[in-house]
Amino acid sequence: MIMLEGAKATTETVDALRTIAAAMKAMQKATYNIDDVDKTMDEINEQTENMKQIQEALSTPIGAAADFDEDELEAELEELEDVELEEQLLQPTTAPAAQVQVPAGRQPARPIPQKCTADEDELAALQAEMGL
Amino acid sequence: MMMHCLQPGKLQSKKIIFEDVFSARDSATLEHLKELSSRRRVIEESINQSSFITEAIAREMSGGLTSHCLRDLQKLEQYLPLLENLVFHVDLVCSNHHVACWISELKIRWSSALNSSSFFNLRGPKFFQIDNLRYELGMTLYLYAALLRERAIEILPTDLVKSATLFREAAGVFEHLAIEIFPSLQSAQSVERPPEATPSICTVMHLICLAEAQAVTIRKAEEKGTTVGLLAKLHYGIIELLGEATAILYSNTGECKDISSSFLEFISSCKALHELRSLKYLAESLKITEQLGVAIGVLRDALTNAKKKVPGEESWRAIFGKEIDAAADMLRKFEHENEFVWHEKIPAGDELPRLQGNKIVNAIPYNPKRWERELSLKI
Repeated sequence: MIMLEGAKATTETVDALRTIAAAMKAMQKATYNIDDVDKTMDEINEQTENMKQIQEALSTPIGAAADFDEDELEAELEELEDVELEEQLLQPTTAPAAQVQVPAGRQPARPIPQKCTADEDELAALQAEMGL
Repeated sequence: MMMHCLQPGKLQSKKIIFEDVFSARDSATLEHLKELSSRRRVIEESINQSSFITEAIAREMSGGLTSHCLRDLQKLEQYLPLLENLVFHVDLVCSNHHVACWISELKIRWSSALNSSSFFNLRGPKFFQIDNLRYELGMTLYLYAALLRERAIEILPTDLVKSATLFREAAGVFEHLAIEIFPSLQSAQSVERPPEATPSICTVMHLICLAEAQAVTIRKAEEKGTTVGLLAKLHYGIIELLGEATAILYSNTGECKDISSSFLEFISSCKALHELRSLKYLAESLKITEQLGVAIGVLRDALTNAKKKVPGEESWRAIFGKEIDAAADMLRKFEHENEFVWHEKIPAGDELPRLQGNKIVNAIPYNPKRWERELSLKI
């Protein structure tokens, strides 16, 4: 009895698979052809390349900016930043803008070099106005 | 508002007639001596308040000056160059016996405005005699500096820049006295002298004038809307200047003994007032940087200290009281906000931040002017 039921299930499974295979074969015939797929992919790649070229053409600098070398400019900016940082670090510690001595564990929220510069500018303006 | 003390300028002097003492060899010298005496007399009458000239006549004589202080400054600016010339020529012959006698016969006597015993002397101020022309020059210059300071206070409500400049000029004159004039007097004489005729007190006055110049500068900074952090440092700079003055007053040099308690109270009250203002601004800047708990700690500490130092003098107490009220009001607002919103811990004692001060004013150096005229004395 059990063997009969098993054989029946197997037959039904095989039949279903046969049906699927036939259906897939029919679908493939109607729609897909490996050459068509290749052709379609090629067309997509070609269009993508065209778009890329158009975008590059649009991003090219116009006029005087076309003469600038980006790498050179970046190197120059880096150099300027290094010089400015060196100047800030070399400023004497007895400069007018004194700092608040806060106990350890309670640090001021703002970065100190920028605050000192702002204080110095304010002091310089005040001294100029008062003739000091 | 600033606290003011005009006591340092309240000097008096006894009459001097130069031509009765110095023997002139020629008419030009005699004329110079008479002019010295004449110029000195108008100063004596003004500071001794013994002049019979009406206010209207005094104004006309000075070319229209309405300020009593300005008129006195004008008189001193006319007297000092003549005196510098006499001192110059006497120095050339100072070893001469006749000259030494003449100077003692001049009886150069000045009172003190800072000496505590003068205040309680019912017979009038005590006069100090020192037989040295540099004493006359020094005390006259001291009076000049004190009047410059008084004029700075007078014009403070209308011209902050000019006021600060006058304070700095006064500081320059006091510095000149401390360095150039009174040290030479110190070595020559051992008689009792007024506190004003000492390098220490002149240095104290120099520091007070610088502190007052900085206070005026802070007023300007407040008008301009300067950041509260910088204002805190500027106020603390005043504390440092007055701290130096206090250290000199309480040092053991002996020059500063018997100083009027009113003058000492002025300095300590000014120091306390600016400390309170400095800490109030510090608290504001801490609030801005989201350290409300620390701001509350700073204000509590500031108010506790300030309430111990309220001055006795009426006008000073009013200014002090106003400042305490403002700080207390700020503390109430901060505490309220912390209680309902932030619940930050309130530090105390050594956990509180410490400030460093900024001293941005300097004295304008005094350049003595001498009327360069040849004098010929019969020695």
